Amino acid sequence: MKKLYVPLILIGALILLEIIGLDQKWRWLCEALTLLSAFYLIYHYRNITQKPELSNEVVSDDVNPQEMDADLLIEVCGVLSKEIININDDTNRVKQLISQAIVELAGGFNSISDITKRQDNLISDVIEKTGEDSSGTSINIQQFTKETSALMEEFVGILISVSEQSVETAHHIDDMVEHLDSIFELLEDSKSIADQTNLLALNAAIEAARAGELGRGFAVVADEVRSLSARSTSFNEQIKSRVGDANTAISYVNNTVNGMASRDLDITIKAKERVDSTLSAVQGMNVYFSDKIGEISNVEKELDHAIGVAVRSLQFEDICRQALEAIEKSAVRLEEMNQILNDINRGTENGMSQISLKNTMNLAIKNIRKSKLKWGSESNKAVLQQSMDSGEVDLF
Amino acid sequence: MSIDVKKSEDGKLVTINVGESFDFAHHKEFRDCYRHEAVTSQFVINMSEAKYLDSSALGMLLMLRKYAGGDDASIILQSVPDEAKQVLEIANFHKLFDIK
Repeated sequence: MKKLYVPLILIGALILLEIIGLDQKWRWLCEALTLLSAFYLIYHYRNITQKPELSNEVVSDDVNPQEMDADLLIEVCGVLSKEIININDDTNRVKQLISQAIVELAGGFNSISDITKRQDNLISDVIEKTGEDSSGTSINIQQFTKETSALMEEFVGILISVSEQSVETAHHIDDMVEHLDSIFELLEDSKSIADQTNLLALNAAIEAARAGELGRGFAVVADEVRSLSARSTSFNEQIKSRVGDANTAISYVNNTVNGMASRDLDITIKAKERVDSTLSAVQGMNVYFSDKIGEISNVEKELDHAIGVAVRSLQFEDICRQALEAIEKSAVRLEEMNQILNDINRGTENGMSQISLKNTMNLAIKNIRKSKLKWGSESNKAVLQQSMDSGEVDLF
Repeated sequence: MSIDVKKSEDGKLVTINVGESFDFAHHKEFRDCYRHEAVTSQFVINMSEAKYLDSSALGMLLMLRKYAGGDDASIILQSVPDEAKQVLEIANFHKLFDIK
């Protein structure tokens, strides 16, 4: 192509000269030279288009390029074969790894699912045992606390009732004491009467003595009266002492009643406070439990959902398998191409004639085109899933 | 310290001041404050000085209530200190008496 530069530059220069304007004879010269250059260019272009036919004839005369082509083919075929084997080995290994991993992962997720179900059941059992509605042999702290609280109230009620009755008893005793006191007063009156009677009898005895013989009968009466009043006085004393005994006995009763009536309620108050605070703590715990159970329930729902997502994502195995199978198919096709090259290689090795080599190559080209058509129709039939999102959910 | 009693002019209101020691030793005194009054009187028990109450105090108040007609009784427990209030609460006295 470098040869063309010269005539092109020449034509360019000549056209320039024409335009500039020269004498008649120079113009004739320029136009002649321009024509010559144009003819040369046309002739040269015709040569270029005819070159392929020239190269065929060159091959039949020259042996070395054919041998070089053969070596190249052997090398290429060798590399292709090796790489195709590598591709098949690697895809097989990947397929196995994925299969194994999937089995283990699926097993793992199923285990997790079972374990969480067991956990759920355990928690339900515990809640039932300590719950508010349970009865019978189960441990029910709230029930126990309520009963204890009620028991304490009853106990306090009994204490107060005893106190009330004790005070009432004390009142009755006071009344009794008042009655006894009034008896004492009466006894005092009685005593003074007896004393006065005694005095009167004494006076009577004195008067009787003064009256002499006539007063002797009266003196006897007076003596009798005196002894009667003495007896009365002694009875008074006895009654007084009995009443005194009664008073003493009553004072003992008073002390007993005092003990019954006065109970320190401090301990009871503290105990009741403790029971009440335990009860409210237990009720607080129940609320806490309910809240936590609700939370656990939510957590388990989330867990179920997460496991579902994970199990669904195992479906990547399908996509991978399809992709690997596609790779294997491509490897098979590469092997077919390799075979075709091998055939050509064998042909050139055995020293085929030019025409049969050309036929072999044409046949090869035909085979390749046939294969390509076949592959094209196969690709249309296969539906490859491109991503996880485009598929449907298939739970194991 | 003893218990003293005041009576209003029209004789219908009886105020009993129980002092510091409202206990069994004073039960007769307390009774004497009301036993001669009309059962329909309104009774006001001033408990401002009663720091400690044991069950006998409760018993005495209940006897007063009995005397004044039980459920028909009109009794006000006034100026009750906080510790004493605890005791009254535990005895459910707020259901039986007017506690202020």
